[in-house]
Amino acid sequence: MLRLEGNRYTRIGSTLVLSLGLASLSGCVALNKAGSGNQPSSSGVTVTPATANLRAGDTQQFSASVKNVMDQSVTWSVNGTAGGDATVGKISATGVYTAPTALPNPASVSIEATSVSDKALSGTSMVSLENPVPTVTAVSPASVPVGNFSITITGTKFVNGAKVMFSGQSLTTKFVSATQLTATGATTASQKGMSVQLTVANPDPGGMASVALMVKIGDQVTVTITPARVDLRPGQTTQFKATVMGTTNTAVKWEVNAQVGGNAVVGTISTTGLYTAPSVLPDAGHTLVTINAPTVEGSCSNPPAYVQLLTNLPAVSAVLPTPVPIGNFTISVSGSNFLGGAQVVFNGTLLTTSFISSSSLSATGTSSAAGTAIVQVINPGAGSPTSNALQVQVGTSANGVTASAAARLLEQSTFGPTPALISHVQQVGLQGFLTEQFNATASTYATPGANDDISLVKKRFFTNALTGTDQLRQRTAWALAQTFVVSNQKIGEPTAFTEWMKMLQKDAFSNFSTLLTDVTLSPTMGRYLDMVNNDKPGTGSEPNENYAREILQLFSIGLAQLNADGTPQLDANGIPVPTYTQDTIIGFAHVFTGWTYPTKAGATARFGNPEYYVGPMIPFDNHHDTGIKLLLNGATLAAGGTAQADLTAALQNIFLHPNIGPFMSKQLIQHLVTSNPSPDYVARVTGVFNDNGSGVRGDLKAVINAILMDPEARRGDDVAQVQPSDGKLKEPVLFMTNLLRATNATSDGANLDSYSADMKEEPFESPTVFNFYPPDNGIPGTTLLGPEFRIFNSTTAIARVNFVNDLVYGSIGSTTTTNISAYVGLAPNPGALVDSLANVMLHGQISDSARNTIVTTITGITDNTRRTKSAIYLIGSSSQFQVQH
Amino acid sequence: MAKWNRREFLRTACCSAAAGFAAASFSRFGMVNALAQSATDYKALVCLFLFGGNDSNNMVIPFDTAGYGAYKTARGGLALAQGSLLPITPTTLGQPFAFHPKFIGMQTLFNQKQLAVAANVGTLIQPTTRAQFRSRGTQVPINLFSHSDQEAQMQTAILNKVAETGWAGRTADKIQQSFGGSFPIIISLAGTNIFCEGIVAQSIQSNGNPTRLLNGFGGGSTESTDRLNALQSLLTFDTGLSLVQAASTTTGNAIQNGQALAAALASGTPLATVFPKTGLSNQLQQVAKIIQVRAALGLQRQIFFVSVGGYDTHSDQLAAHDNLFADLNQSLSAFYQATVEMGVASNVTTFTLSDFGRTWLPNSNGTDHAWGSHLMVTGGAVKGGDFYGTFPTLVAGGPDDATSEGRWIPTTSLDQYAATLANWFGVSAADLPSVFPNLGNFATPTVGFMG
Repeated sequence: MLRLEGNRYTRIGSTLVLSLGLASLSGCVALNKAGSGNQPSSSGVTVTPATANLRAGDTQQFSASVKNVMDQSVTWSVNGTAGGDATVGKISATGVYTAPTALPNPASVSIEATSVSDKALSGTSMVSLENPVPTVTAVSPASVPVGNFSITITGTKFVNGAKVMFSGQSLTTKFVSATQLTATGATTASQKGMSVQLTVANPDPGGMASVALMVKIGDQVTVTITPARVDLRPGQTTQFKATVMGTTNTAVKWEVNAQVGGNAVVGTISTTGLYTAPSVLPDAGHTLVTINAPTVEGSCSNPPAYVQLLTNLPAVSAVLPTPVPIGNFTISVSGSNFLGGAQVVFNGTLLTTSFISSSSLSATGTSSAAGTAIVQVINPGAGSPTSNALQVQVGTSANGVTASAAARLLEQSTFGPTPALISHVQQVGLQGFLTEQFNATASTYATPGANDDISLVKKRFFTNALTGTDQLRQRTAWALAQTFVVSNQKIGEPTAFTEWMKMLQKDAFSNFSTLLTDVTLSPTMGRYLDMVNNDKPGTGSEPNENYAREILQLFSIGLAQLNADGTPQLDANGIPVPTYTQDTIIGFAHVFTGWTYPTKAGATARFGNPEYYVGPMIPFDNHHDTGIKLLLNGATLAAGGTAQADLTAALQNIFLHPNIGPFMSKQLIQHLVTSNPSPDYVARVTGVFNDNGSGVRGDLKAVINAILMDPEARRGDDVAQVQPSDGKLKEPVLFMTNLLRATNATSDGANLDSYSADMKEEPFESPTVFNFYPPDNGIPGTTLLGPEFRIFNSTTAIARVNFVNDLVYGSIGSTTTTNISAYVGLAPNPGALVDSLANVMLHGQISDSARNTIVTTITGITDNTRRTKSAIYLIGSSSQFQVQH
Repeated sequence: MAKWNRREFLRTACCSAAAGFAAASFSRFGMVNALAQSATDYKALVCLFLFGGNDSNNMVIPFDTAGYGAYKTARGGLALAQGSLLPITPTTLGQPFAFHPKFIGMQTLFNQKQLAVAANVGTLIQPTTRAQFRSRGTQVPINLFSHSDQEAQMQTAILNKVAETGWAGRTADKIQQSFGGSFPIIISLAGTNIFCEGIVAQSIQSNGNPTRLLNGFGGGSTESTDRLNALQSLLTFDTGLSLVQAASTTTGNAIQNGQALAAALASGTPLATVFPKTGLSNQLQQVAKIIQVRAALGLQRQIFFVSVGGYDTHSDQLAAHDNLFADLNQSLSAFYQATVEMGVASNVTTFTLSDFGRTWLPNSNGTDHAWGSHLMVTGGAVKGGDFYGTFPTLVAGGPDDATSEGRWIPTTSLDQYAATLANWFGVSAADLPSVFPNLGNFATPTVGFMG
């Protein structure tokens, strides 16, 4: 503050000095106007010129001669300021003075030269400063109407106080900047058609007008619309712009075909000119629509702008069969917007094409060699509307991946093969596909609103499964959701499940240790298995054993000590050796004390926080048991640990138990590949679980990859290598999604939960923590395991067949529709139809007897759609489809 | 009654047709006798499984002053008010007990001697004391306190390994030749359960509706008929894959049995008994309807499996138990009433099973997994109004506690309990040990609650 005061004081001082100096000079300015002679200075320095007139911003060279002194060097100052400043103008060491861009007040300065050798010797020159001469470069609008108008003038060197002169009259002018003025005025009817001069005059001193521009009066108001013409397809949009000339009121009303705002038939246009083409093309002869934008005074654009409405481009979504055979072939191309006369182009060759429907074409051609081919569809009409290019596989792919192998991998790693994915896997290879999938972005779960319930989550689960591009992550998360089970039967809050699924998706390819920690601290699991608000023991109350028991029995190590190959270790009596005792359960029950729900924003954290599911549970050490706790393998936790420290140590104790690898690996194999993996298969995956090759234990991505690429998983790619015990019964969710994806269904997921419930697997509604079915369920009358057979019985077996019936012949709800047109395209040849369906639904492995039965049955049906439906029904209801093998 | 007598007569006549005129020598009196015998020689066992492990400590409660006082102290927040309890007086015990407040109908049946309590029943390989258990001096069932294992063991009576058959299946195997027909003798209305699996005896495992039929074949067009034939053909093809074969068998049986059962049920008459609208009641009502048409099915013996879940009351137990027991009480009461209505009350015996009991000492507001629990048997053939077996000493850390929280070591084995039922059903005493492998380890093979 003190320093600021000092500065201000100094500036006041210099102003005083300047004022005094200028006052003594003012008379000289008047006397010596335009003077330029050498005026000897009484002070011994002569400054030349002695006076000068300069316009703002201009420069003037001054020189000085010092009398009677050898050293002629001087220093220059302006109004007593060495070198001058922005206000009074600056002067260089060589005497070049530059006038300020804005005039000081008063508008004259004193230039002083002072001898360097004798500072007592000095001389001055007096400079009168004047405003610059403006220039006008443009006037907008270029013409003004009769009556009141307002204009904008652009140019240079405008100064505050400048006046716009219009036909010699000064207009009310507003100074905007040195390069812009605005002005208002009025013209009379008698002036109409005249061109008048417009100039700008800066004020005095030095006031001078610019060179004139001509402005026309009473020009016609014009509207110009850009772009003048555009081609649009249904639903596309374009932004129009109207330029209104000759009036100041530039508001317009946007019209389509002379109708303000347009309509659904001709397209709509917004008040700002955004045009949206109609979703359905108008009748032929009405596809060129006019766009106009009359001003409020009624002036229109002439000519108007035009929109040529075009048909939708055809789009190709799938080609059957996949792969396309080598040699002569008939393919069914499905997609949308096909027109009669459309042609299929196969690697640049036009094929003989039959139009079946707007979504289905059939074409015949010949291929010469295995590889990939590009399929496109060209509609008839101007510009040959051409579809996207779909890459399809011809014959066996270069990397040797058969369509059967591709489809089998998709059965194991997705919610069901599709023709397009089969082709894609053939192109990128099995490992290539898995690598793509590991890197795919996770699907989302929208946060439920206040009025949402669990049905929102169920619908999203199904739509993610049906259309998510992260199929393997979804499939893995679903396997994990059936291992780490939580259920809406107890919880009832949808956010608990969106948070839960996001967590499983996040952890699906992470480390098992991360997953186990996230599961343990999830408030969803906390609520489901009663770890939330589990208090240290009190009078007459023991810690809750629910989570302690199930984390060991179901989520990590299981009941029996296992060998690395998943087989149980037996004692001398042939009894499995248990992994823990009731005392261990009690130990872990004490570990899991002291945790409550995360704290809602704005609430005060306390033990016994209200139900809330976003974020992990939080610890309260004063509710945590601090005694010694027995863990696995006889390890103990010392007394006095915090809730967090005890939990971390206990989970590590579990994570390092040798059972984790075989226990989790076998269940993941059962969920993805086969109910009855050989011990060797389990052992190989366990090896990867224990060490991913980089010394990391529990790398789930490596485990999933090992499961899917194991020779035992892949042996069925060659039908000759299939073993009798191979495969797994598709659980209801997989059964449904496989059928829906094979039939190219679109769905919002509604009703699918009801159907799956009828088959005893309603997502998020497991009856108990033991999931819908247990991993060790035996198939009666065999020595085989069949987990999913636990929910396959008289009722659910029929429910499955009836689901196929409803989907194919009836409806499973208005928001789920199939598109089987690609298959219908092949229906004229029943054998080709069944083969194509079998490629997608049975990875191409259909027995001759089954194929013959179906072909014979459907050949009797003449209608191609009904023929196709019958084939889908028979394959979909067959046990070969029910069992993923 | 008259209605199904006539149908039985027709069925017998039909089946005898091959005997031709030789049948004509049957006296009219003899024929009537034969009908009378088949009409009365019908027995059904209905297993009602309480999934999750029922806390029977709050189902049957000591009612004497000292007993209730100890109960109240030990159970803390889970103790039911004494005034709310429903007193019962077991005939042969010297002290009063009480049922849970929701057990109004059960109290009535007990007092009418149509319901018995089997005290502290559970999985046991041999009689076991606390000292023996804690020193591992006896062989005990594997994986005690685990839901999945104890549910399976209660259904199989095989306690030392994963079993491939259930004790109902093996019981049915024993009587199949004497009493069985072509229609499956065991029907589950509660999904697929190992309980029902036998070697020769067939079962229908269903979810409440064993008569579901295929949709889409009502029109009878050539197209749909051809398609149905093709569907059935596909189920018969041997693909060489065991799981495909198993699926085909299940689907094929579902179609065939569903049609047969639906046809039989179409001949039934509506029951006057009103069943409540709960999942358990729906199952029991279905059982009653099937029992009504037993003659049309040609069966003299049947075993049914029904269930209800939710008994795993780790938390919020009091409210949960109120709902569960209200349902159980109403459903069992209605079912017993239906058997009375059909005149088969003494031919039908209903009994409960559950995974295990629960800890005597509570956690904050629930209970954890334990071992022995009290079970109930009801029906006209039951020697009701009494407790069977030995009531445990209700003291945490006491002589019957396997641990320190009150996990009762069973004082009656599952084998004894089940053998009592199987023996009534028709399995001879000589055959019982082959159905119940540990039965020989106990002094008395049956516990006397069946008449």
